[in-house]
Amino acid sequence: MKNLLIILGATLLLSSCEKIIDVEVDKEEPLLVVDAFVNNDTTAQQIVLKYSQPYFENGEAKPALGALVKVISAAGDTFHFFDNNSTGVYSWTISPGDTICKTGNGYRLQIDFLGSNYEASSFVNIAPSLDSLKFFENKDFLGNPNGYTGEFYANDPAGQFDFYRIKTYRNDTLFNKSNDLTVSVNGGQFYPGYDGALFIRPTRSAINRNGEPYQLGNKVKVELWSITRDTWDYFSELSSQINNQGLFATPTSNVRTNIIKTSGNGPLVQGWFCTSALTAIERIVK
Amino acid sequence: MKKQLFLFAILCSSFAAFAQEKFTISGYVKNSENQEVIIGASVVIKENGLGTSSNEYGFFSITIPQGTCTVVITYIGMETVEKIITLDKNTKIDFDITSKATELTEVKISAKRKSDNVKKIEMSTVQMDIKSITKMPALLGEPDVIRTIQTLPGVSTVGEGASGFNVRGGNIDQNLILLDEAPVFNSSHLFGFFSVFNPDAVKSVKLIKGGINAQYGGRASSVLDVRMKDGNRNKYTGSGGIGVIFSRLTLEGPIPFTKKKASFIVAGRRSYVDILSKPFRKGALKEAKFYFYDLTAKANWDINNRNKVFLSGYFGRDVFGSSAFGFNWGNSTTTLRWNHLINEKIFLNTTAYYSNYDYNLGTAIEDGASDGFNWKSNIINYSIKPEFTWYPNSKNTVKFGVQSIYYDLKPGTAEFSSGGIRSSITLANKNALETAVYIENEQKIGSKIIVSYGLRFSGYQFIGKGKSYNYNDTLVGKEKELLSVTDNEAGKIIQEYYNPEPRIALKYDVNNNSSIKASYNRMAQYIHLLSNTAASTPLDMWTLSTNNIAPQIANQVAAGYFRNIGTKSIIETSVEVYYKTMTNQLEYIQNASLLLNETYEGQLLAGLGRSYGVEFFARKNEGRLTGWMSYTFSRSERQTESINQNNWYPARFDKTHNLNVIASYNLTKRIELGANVVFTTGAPSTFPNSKISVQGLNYAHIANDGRNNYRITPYHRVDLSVTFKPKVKENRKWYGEWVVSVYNVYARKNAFTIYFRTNPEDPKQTQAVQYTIISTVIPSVSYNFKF
Repeated sequence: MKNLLIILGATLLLSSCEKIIDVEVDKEEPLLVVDAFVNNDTTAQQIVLKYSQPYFENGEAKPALGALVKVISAAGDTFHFFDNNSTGVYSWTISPGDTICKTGNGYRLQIDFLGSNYEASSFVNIAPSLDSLKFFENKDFLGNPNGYTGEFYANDPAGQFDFYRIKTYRNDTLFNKSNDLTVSVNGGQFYPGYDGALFIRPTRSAINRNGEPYQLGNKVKVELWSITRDTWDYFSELSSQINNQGLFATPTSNVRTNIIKTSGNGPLVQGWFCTSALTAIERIVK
Repeated sequence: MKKQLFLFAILCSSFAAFAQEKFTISGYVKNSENQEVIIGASVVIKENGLGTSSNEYGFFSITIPQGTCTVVITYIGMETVEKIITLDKNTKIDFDITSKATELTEVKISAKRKSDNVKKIEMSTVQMDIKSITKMPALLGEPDVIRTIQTLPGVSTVGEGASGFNVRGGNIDQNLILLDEAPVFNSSHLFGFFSVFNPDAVKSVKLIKGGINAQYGGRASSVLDVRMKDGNRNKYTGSGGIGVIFSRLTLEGPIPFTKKKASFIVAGRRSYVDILSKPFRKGALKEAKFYFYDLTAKANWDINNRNKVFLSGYFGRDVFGSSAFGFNWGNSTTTLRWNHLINEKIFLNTTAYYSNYDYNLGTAIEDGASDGFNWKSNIINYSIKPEFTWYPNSKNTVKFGVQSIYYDLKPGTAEFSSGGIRSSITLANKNALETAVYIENEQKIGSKIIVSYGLRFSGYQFIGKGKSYNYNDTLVGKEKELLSVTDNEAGKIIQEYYNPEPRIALKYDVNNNSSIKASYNRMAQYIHLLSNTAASTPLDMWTLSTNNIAPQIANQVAAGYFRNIGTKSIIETSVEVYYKTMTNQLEYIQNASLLLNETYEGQLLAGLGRSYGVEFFARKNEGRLTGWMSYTFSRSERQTESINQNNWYPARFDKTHNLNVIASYNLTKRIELGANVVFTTGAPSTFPNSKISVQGLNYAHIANDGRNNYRITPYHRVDLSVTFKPKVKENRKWYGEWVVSVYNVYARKNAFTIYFRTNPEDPKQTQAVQYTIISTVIPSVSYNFKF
């Protein structure tokens, strides 16, 4: 909707414009940033610990090394994550057939770092299977290059609020620009949304990029990650912050975190822990 | 209660019987050319200096000792009328006054008595004459009421193009914007570039920032009282304009077969950028719709000497969208008023109105369409307000009345259709009844002092039928947890609030040219606009006070020194200071999601507000050079638990320095020059400190949850205009003038906001973006006519 406002504003010849400017901002003490999204997939799972950077610094973030990282299930199973290459990327190597995230179970994240303890908890919600992925040929659509737009079909399970993140890969590359971030509640866009039906259109077609339609032969993969209500809020906040624009921009404000520092004098913490069930569908455009 | 009794006692004592026999002169003051009643004309008895002024309906009443007296009627830009009357009984007399010969070609709509600035008790008030509004160089050549209001002292705005205005530290929802007494919920067209008031149909505009009379209530900060013209009683006339962005046409005249006892006015506007740009638009934009229109209409009828009725309405809408998706919003108001003279000393006006604001967003869900979305929201209110004005003697004027408002709020209904299956979300309707009783007396004490004291007592009931929500108190700043939802039956009182609102004002004449004034007012506000974007959007939702949202209360003290300089063409000057505190100012938890969220009340925070400042104002109404200068030095701050570590932070529209110079100069009889100069401090903004990287996405972090910790660059702008008028000729039927204006002469790229985001093409890069709404010179030509 905001895009529409901007297009129309521009048409009105009121000459609104955006300009990238240099501003000076104060620095704060680096924060510990936890990036912990684990799923039920049978590939290796990773939790990344790094430091925050000054807002305009563009280099790589400094890794947080030497932490003890584990995920504990409600049943008491412990999964240890190790940073074997000293890069801040802590991995749990899977044994065949084993997964961390079992649907309907709760998990806790525990981190010991610089004498401080950090904790977070999450829950694995259900992810419905993706029924199909279809492509439609487009010509002269909104001035875009010719190509194909895709839609995926899935049915939201009835009876509770279900939250999802949708991730799209073209030829194995994740769409991860700021406006690619897509989350959904019950297959819709509003909370509380409607329930137990086919995912609605803006969600179904959120796997396309404006101006970059799919071409014949592209491999397209869509992943549906079940997330918690809290995680949906987190991504919604994050999305509105990083996609800010125009007359109705929202004043910048902090995105929530579910990581809590429980003891010690280590750095303050930001970031997120979420456990997901994952379903996926893949198709070649032809 | 004691306070009320005390007031009542004062009131009674002031009407103690007088021995000498007295009679009342009453009547209406009208413009002889079109029989339009004149608001605020001065009526003075020459022999003893006693005086009054005509009210909002042109009525006056003055009671004086019997004998022969000379009544003098004066009004700026009009010939003074003197009439000798032998007073031996109560006398009803209407005065027709005529425009000064030199200004025959201009329709005089409203101005004020030369000495009002000093002599009247009202302070923190600016009465604008529509002529001075139309003289200002304007954006795209279209003079605008709200944009003019924004140049007055004590008034600020979030930025150019933002809707509404902020008065003395109040949010935009704290202004009671009245069009013929009916409230207008969104005063903007095209977001905030133009206001809903068609200048051709407006008779007078009055902004009251402090010392607010007891007759007004329901908003915390100010009253913008816009009165429409009644319509010419003598002949059919028209006026209008053709501009770059829209055209206007107004017709007025007597209603046939009523023997000139009734008249009407109809005024319409429509924008046409959509039509003009159609050949240049391509692809999906070809079908784009973006326009606004409004229609203002009014009729009045003198039933007899004692009764008059007025029916007025406003209907306007903004439409944006494409063939597939769109949104639109609009206000409609209807006001029915009945003036009834109970006797020479008691004037009764009864106003009943209906006001509706609604918006609609989505794709059309037509039958058979398998996918769609449609969302509606509206707020309707109905009100009745009988108000008595009693002129017991020449020293006192008493106003008392009752106002009852019924609110019917439908915050949102959204329908979805997906794969042919329909579903909907409906946010619970909310209903409420707001009732106020008030009484106020304006009393002259000796020749130098006027006091005004009154009380408004407001009560508010949040009533069924509807749902009410009970929340758990959690950590402040976090979303509250919903405990239970209660279904309330129709008429059940869910929550009630009562607020006494005392209003006091005082004026003391230092000498003939200067006076000191002071006032105190307390205001209660029961409806609130929810908005957490930098500028308010047309989709912001109004909410009523509920069991979770307490009314906003504002207390304000103000004092000022008023002085008129010069004798021939007076310069009115004033310096005022004010201090205002506000409670229950709505704030939002971090990243609150207000749209279509049934439990939005759980995301609200109640904060405190305070504002203080000093305002300088100078205005010259007559002569070749006219215009005004205003300078305000002020602070507007908020304090909300969990924000900015519980410390005070500047409000979004806090502008430390705010300077406006508006000037108009008659170069020759046919050429008029206009200029605006604006300078304000940059608006506060929140700048981040750190960058957080999660899942390959980079976002900002602000140390200590800070708020408005930086300021954007100052705003300044100069506009110029030239008006070419035709030769003055007797019996000219058609009068047309050309206005050439240049807005933002030196093409300043004023920042509207600065926001922080990741580069849309590269999520690793973070950037600060300065958003400018008008970044270039905007020249325009328009043609205005009258016939």
